[in-house]
Amino acid sequence: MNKSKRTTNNFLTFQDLILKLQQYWMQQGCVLLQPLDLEVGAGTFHPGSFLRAIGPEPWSAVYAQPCRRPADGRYGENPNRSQHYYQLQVILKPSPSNIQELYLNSLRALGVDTLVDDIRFVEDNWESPTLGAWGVGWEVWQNGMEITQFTYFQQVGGLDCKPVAGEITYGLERLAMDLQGVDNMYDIVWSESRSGRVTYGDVFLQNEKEMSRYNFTYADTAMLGNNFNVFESDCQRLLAAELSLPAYEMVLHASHAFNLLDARGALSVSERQRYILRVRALAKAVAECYFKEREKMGFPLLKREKE
Amino acid sequence: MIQEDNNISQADFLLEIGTEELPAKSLQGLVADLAFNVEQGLQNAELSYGRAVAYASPRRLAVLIRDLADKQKDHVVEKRGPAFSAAFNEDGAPTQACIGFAASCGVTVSELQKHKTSAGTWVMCRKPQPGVKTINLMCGIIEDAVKKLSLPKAMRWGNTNETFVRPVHWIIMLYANQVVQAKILGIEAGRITYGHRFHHPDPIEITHASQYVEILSTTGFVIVDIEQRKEMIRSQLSELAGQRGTVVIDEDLLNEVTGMVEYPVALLCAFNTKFLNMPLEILKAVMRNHQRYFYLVDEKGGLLPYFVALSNIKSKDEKRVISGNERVMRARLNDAEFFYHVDLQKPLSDYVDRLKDVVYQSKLGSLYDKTKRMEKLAAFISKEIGADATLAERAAFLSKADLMTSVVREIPELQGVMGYYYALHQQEPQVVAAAVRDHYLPRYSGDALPGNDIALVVALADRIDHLVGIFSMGQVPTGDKDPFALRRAALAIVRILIEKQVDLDLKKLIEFTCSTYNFEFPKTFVSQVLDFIFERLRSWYAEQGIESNIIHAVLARYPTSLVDFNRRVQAVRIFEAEPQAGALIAAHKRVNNILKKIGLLLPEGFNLDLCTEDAERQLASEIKEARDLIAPLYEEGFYTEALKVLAELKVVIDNFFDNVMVMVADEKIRNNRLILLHELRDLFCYVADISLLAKG
Repeated sequence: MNKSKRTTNNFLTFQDLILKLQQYWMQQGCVLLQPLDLEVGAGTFHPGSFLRAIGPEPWSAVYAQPCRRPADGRYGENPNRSQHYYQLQVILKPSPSNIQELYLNSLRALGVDTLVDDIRFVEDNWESPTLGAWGVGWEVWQNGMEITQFTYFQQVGGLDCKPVAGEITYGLERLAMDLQGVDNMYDIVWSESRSGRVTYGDVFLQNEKEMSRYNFTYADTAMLGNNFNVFESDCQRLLAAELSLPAYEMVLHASHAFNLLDARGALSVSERQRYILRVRALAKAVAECYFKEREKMGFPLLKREKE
Repeated sequence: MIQEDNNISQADFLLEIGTEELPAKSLQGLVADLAFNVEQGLQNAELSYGRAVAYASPRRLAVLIRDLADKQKDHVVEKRGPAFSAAFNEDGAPTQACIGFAASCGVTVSELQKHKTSAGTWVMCRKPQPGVKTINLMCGIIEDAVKKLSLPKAMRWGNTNETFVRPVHWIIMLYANQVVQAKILGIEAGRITYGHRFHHPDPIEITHASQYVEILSTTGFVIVDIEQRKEMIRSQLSELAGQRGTVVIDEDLLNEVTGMVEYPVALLCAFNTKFLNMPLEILKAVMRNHQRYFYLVDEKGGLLPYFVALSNIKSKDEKRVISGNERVMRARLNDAEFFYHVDLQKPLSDYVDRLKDVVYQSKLGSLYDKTKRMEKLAAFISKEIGADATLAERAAFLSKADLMTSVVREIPELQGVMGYYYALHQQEPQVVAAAVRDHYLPRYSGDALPGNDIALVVALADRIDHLVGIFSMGQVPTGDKDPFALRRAALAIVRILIEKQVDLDLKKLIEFTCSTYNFEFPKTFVSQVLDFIFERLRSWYAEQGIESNIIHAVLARYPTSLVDFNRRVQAVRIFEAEPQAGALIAAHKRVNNILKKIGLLLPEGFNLDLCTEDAERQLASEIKEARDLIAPLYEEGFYTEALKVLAELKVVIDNFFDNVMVMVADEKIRNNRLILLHELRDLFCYVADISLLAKG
């Protein structure tokens, strides 16, 4: 796209950005995971964050996670808001004391000069009502733009985090926009491919337009409401069978059904609140079940650390 | 305890807690609390010092104690033993009690002294106690000071069990040039600090406590003095604005950004003038609340297409930082503009219907239901106070519609303001649009009140509907829990009615409000709500320094128009200051006491023929005269004048009680006198129950 106002020709493509960050965190000793193959609203929902934050076992991982927030759809007309986007998620448990420095070095690895850019840690505490989780931390600003969410988990699924996991969530589109100097996310260069330059818009604009119409107009609310109920009862059935991971998948399905209902404007404020509480109750039950299952297994990763 | 002076020298003490970035808004309060706690600790330990100074930046809290004594003063500890007579027997030999006492003090009997007072003679142990060195006391004092901090959102990190606002990385505790041996928040205290995260990440050694501020600023790129940093920002702001205009400095914002930087560098940025076509409140909200930018105005107060961003770095490429901030601002304003235009595509009144989807409270229906009730209330209140009911109903109808618009959903603090613009856009009368905007006033205690009559009517309708509705759900505030902000709603009603002189009967208003609901209320409901409002009224008066006995006295008459209530209060205040007031209050109490003892009903009517004393006749005629004077004054609400008439009765009342015996044997005469006192009491109680003014 020639209308973009790129400040330099030597920029990272979107795919380079993902690879560089993954590589950087692999070098810091993180397990490189792949995205979860279910719809999630944030990288935190990946079992590699939500469930691994529970219990005493150490865990470090990095992965890119496509996220869906149906209500944020803008038919591709908003330069930096969309119903589908990417997060790069890093989880370090226990949080190392140099975690901020590790994070800043990841920006430096991307070519950010911290004596040029104004990087700031601005108070922003995180709370997920549906996951029964909260943490304390910051949003990280780069020249006034929020590029990362940085959180020390305090509670997940209603359970105290001991040890505390540090979570770093990069907003990849925003980071790319700044690094490439473009004003519109759809102008981000995804790849210099063999058939020419491919932008974020080439990859996702049609999806954004069609999915926005689906989210706001065509999603079948009766079906979604029904699905929610089915996922909820199935989750409870699986919990009774002590199947924490399949039960967790049902939580994610239910949560996405709720997000779609919400985007369709099908929920009143109090109904919305009731749905949130229902998902939260499931998430808490799953968290407890998962903890017990790990405990039964003797917290295997804990042993490995001691060996 | 006797204190003796000895050689004590002074030096500075430094505490620094090095952390990850602290929340900007609570930074100043946090360090002030810390300094306060340290001072308390020093005082409890009887360590003298010059003064305590609090310093803070995003990555550190510090307290510097100037001229702290190097040890406690030496002093003599005195302990009194048994009576002298019990300590030694006739031969002068020590008794068992005396030997035991000496042993408990760790001295020999010969070291005990004789202590003589007017009450007797005792044995006494006087032991010199050398003062403890400061350096040995500071660990405990600081540990306590940190422990006592109240942290609303304390966190844990890593594997530690320590809790603090953010993870702690280093601790400095220096007395003069000596490190204090201590472990605070899991960290060994030392003399190493760190400078600015990017300009000076390397360790810095603080050799002497008194050099702290200087070293951090010259070597560390950290301006740790909050006031100095704030003034730096202030002068940078005005310098940058230069010829272009004036930076509007909101002190809350200035404090917040001061808490967000260690080394402030203000940058002038610009945005496209096309955005100035939007309501300026949108731009201001985006700049101030969302981006923490300062905005500029011209000499007429008009918004200029510039803003100032505060960076925390002396960038090698300022232009890049500026263009980054401008890009964020552009995206934000594009967003807002998009929403604004979406909103304008439909008239505001179209959004009212959508309020049906928003539950206000499950029992109370949707926001649409609330709007409908508010319309009825607006009409009712308008008629009561002589405002234009049609306009008020219209304003009530539109009052909540903007909650459904995109801009307000994005920027909730613009509720009301956007309604104002959208109402004007659909050609509503100015006064209706202003009411849509201003009916949220007052938003907090001390906030402005609605300006025009219509806004005032809608504001009242909103508050009384809320109060009655939530009350009917049994959600009455208890203690400091008031989740539905009923106290604020009641206070708003109080302030609007009194300060805006709205003569409206609250009882009628509450009754009417109940009638707008389609369910039954318990019998005592109206008086419960009234009492709740009166409770707020009482505390509102208390804040103005009006004593509660005055409020009690007026409340005894239960005037349900607050304008009337207030007039009585003011009249009673004047009355209370009159020289006769004390005697009249006492007389009223006396009358009450006499009447209280009479259980039976008195026969009707005072009979002048039954009077036997002059004082009695005189009082009777003065009461009649006073009543004839007071009744019309009372009707007109001239309470001050009415109470003046009362004050003039003092002489005859005194005279009556001096010369007339009420409880005489003759039943007819006795009852007649009691009837007279009854009439007197009625007179006392016209404006307020005067007897309740008695103090103590």
